[in-house]
Amino acid sequence: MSTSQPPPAATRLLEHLYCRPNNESLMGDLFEEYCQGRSRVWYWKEVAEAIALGLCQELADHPVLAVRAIALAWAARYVYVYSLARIAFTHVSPWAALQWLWWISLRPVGLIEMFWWATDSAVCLLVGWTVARCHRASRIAMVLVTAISIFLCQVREIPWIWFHAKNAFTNARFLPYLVTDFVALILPSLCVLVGGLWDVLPKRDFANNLP
Amino acid sequence: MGNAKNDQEHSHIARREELPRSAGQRLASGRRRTTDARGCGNNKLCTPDFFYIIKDMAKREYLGNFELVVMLALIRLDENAYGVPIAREIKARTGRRVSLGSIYATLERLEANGLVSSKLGEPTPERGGRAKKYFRISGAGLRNVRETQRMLINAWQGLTKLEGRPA
Repeated sequence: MSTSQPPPAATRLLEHLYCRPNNESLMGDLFEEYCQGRSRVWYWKEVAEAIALGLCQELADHPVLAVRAIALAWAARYVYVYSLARIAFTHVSPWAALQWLWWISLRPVGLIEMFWWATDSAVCLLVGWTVARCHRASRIAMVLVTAISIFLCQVREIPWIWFHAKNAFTNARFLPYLVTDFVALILPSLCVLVGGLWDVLPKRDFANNLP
Repeated sequence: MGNAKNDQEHSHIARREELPRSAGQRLASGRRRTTDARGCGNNKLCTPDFFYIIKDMAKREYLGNFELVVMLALIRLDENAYGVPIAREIKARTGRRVSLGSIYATLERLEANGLVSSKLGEPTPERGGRAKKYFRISGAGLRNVRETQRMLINAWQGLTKLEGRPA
């Protein structure tokens, strides 16, 4: 019989991301089973399955809200990219812009890329926050589905990650590119999650140094 | 004018009773459905109709496979039916590993349909101070299980290919 506590990270994830009313009972059941000798892998698997099922149920209950949340997120991102492109092409000639793009593509992290990441992250934080505010009743599910939709768009980075990961083994020059691609893959969806769920994320009691 | 009114009545019936008719099928009069009271155009499955159908699809007469297994486990466990024993009972009877999340998802759906009722127990230390949620089958749930059993027995009868040794 296992006497140790179940993985705290998994418990917290379940506590904050499981969006159905039976949260407490499910956590109690998982705790009971874990103490009966189940493994940590089993616990993580159950948590992942419960979160995914909860999300699916919530989406089945509110399909229109889910479509609205995704549309809102993509409209905001589109406006941002469109405005940035408009500014760039108004002040810079297209040929210069192309040369500039070629130049920054040769560097893993340039100033332009930093600027892009910073502003895109800010937009994603704002998108997450707006989605959460507009869908208070099923906030967790709507923020999650928005983050998933943005992540699915970023999946286009995976071939580059694979390519750079393969080359990074033989040539360390590719390592910064790998890091850049990986950040580009996860950063926007992570920002949506943080923006939407920052107030349900666990707070640390800094005064007493307690979690 | 009279035809348009007739069509409106037909489209209303199609939404209420005969779901497959709403997707631009021909009416009894031989004409296609024209614009109805909600302003949906010809030959189109308009958005409110679409969601109406999805909503109605969820209201099944009979229980699904997993729902039936969960209901039978509830009947067998009687007073002591909460997540962990239900999962164990299903594993013992069917040999299938089921996640607690899927059991709760099913129970929540059954409870929303009035087939199951629940009550919270006392918090206990072996569950990390969290309460158990006991589930119990309702009268309507029991009737539904009987109905599903009858339907399955009827469906099984007369299948000569399934008689004898299992394949």
